[in-house]
Amino acid sequence: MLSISLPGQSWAHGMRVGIKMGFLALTSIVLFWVNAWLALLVTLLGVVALYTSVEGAVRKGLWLMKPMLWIVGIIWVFHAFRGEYLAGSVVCLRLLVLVGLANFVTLTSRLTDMIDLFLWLLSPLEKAGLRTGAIGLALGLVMRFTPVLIERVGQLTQSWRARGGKGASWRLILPLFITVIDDADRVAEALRARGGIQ
Amino acid sequence: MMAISLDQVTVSFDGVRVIEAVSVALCEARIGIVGANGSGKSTLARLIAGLIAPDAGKILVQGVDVYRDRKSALDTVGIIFQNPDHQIIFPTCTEEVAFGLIQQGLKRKEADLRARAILTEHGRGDWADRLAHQLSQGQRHYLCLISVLAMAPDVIILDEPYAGLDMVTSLQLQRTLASLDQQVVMITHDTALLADFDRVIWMDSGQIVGDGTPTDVIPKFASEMKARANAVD
Repeated sequence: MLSISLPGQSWAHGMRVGIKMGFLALTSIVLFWVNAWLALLVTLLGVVALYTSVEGAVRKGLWLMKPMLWIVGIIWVFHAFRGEYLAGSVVCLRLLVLVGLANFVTLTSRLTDMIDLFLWLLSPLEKAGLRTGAIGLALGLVMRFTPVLIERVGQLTQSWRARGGKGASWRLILPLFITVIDDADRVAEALRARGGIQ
Repeated sequence: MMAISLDQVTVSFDGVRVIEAVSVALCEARIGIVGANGSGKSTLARLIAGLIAPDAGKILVQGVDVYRDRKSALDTVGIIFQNPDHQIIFPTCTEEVAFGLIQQGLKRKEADLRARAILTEHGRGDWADRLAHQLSQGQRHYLCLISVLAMAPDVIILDEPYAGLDMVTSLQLQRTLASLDQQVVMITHDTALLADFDRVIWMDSGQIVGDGTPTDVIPKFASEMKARANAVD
């Protein structure tokens, strides 16, 4: 089942989210100035080393990367088609490093800590009168309910097939929408029950 | 103090009366609510939990206006819904349990420690870092209960807590509920579960039509439901 979280007690989990995010931001900026494929390849190996240092991270990381590999593949083929092998490799390596690092930070950080950091970044807006608490909560809910939504699609597809429908159909979109609105109502109720929305 | 008191409470949804001028005082430790689908029992549970406002009338739980005074309501009443997926808000079990504690005013660090301690108290210490959606249906139900118990409310409301549970989990839940010090209000279709309860309320068309001990109310309720089922044929 889907989730971008890898609970654990490793060194990476122990590190403060602010530091991890800061490091990620810094690396992202620096990497945009690096155009040597060898340097990028070494960095990529460094990222792989990071994953191997945390139990279970390699498997989960590869799984998260799967859709990314397709995109990277297409970009490389596109460049290769125009004869720009080297430029293509540089772009692809850079993407792999950045997404790999970002996934690593997400996997080893607790959702609540990331939301706290996000709220801290938004705190200037709070002074301008924006209710940042609600934004933080919304962010958390999106992460939590992504797997639930995917499961819901699966359930609807099954009921569709059980009565003779073929494949997944666009006609499931409306029922999905309705069940999601219904779910949202109930979750809002549960939040209120435990003090989430004042 | 009167634990739960409703005074002339009326609720309508889209012009349809769902609760019709209900007045009742509930002080017993174990109270069951029975009734056909659409009789208003879930609405009653949500009223007592302070999740919806009455159109008219007054609801107090331990003297607290649970709809308006949400801060005091958190210490007063907790509710567990039928579907744990509507209740679990956070990815990991610790975060889920800690959420209510933070809302009650604990600092994040304290809330985390407390949440872990509570999970351990319930013999579920190994859940602390696990992802909620990887637990089984029954386990997730249990997590919801632990999250509410962590907030230590005086009253716990359960809306069909046994729906979809296997026999082992169901029996465990029964044992846990029986051992609670809190006042318990439970909605259920399974009248057998209410045999040891102190009081049973029977709801029909938004009104209380039966009120008394289980031996008093349940047989009448059961024969009425049978009569209705036969009337359909």
